[in-house]
Amino acid sequence: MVFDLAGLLRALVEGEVRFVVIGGIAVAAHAAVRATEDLDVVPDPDLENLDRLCNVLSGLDATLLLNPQRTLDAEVRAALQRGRNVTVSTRLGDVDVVQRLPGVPQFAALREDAVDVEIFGVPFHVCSRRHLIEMKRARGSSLDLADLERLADPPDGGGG
Amino acid sequence: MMDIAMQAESFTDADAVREAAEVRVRRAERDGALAPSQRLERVHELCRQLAAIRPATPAGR
Repeated sequence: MVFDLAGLLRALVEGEVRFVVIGGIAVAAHAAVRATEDLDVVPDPDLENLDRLCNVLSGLDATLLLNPQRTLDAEVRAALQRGRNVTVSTRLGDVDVVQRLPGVPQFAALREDAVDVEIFGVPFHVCSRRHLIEMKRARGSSLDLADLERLADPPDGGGG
Repeated sequence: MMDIAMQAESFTDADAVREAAEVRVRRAERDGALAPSQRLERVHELCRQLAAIRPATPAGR
């Protein structure tokens, strides 16, 4: 099972998809590296952007994680355009497309506050530390609580 | 599993949370099939990539 994070991000960036990264990758960018299994993105809900997103994911042989026989067909694309979340497996790894989840701000708010980072020369945006903490607090799972502890520490480990 | 088309119009926060939990279970099942050495190799590779995340280089300056 592959998880080529840089490859996934490169495909999205080259496909001109507008998105902000949240979840475990954002935790790694802000606080500490921890194991994560997917790339969580909040896309710009603009319909053309969602179409580009679907095209990129389809180009990576995406199928629905919960229904591996199903590709990003017209029905799935329409659902995505109506605000549905979609989780796909691709040949570079899993991608969670998040548009609606308690505590997750809208794309515009995330993007306005986002931090510009890069991986192996691929530029992308991660949500701000503040938004990440808010999302983790809203979910409150054991993993989120552990992430909150990581995020409470200064990123450089300083301050005692 | 929720049908993606049927749920699209009436997809609620509760549906989203339920589905996210279902995804986690499915991943756990899938990853449970990995041998410990494969899992370790995967974590190692992932950490290598995550450690490469850097602040973006300002373009054109």
